[in-house]
Amino acid sequence: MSEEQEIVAVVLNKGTVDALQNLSSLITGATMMGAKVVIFLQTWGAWAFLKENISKLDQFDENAFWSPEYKEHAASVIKEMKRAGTASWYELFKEAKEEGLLEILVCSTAAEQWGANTTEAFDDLVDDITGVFEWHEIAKKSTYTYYIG
Amino acid sequence: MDVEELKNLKPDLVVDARGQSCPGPMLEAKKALTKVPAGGILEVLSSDKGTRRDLPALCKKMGHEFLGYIEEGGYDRLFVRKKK
Repeated sequence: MSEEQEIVAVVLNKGTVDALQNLSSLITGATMMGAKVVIFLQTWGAWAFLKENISKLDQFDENAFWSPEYKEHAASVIKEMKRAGTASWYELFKEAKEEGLLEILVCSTAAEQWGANTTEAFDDLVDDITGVFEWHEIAKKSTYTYYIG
Repeated sequence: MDVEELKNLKPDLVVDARGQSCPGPMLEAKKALTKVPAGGILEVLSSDKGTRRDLPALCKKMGHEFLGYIEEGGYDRLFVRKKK
């Protein structure tokens, strides 16, 4: 990471479609404005990025993993997203990743909670497993930090 | 630029992002700008109201000139001059 690179830090402790879809818009805005986004996955964020769970997070699927409090609205939200041509959250993450402006780190404690000792257990978008000390250093350099939980 | 000046512009490329919600039109605009020659003009058609404010912000960041927009029925025509 160069010293001049603007960084946006995100702590994600939520593994639902609604959280990921909204986060993908924020990521796209930040990366298109030239910032690098670094995401730190805590418990439920890490759960979402486990290889076995990514398929449960299709935002256009009413039966995907939505926040329980919003689930009753899933069908109408999906209908509206389709009408509005909303991009898939996963594709937006992937696009930012391909531009080299998105880094995803898993909290080592969260990885342990899910029995994942290496990044192999996670989706390809995940870069590494790290601890809160390195995260502190990254967040310290960021312009701002989001906490999504 | 006023509306009459914008109407008289001859864009080098027009990208139609109508029907796409944020950030779709911005992604389309950024991709399209790579195909416009330096100093050339890009016209973006967008029905997403956020583009009116997002596109000038992106232009400022990237050094392009946002020339303005024209309201049409249900969508906007937005104009950008690519930096030289």
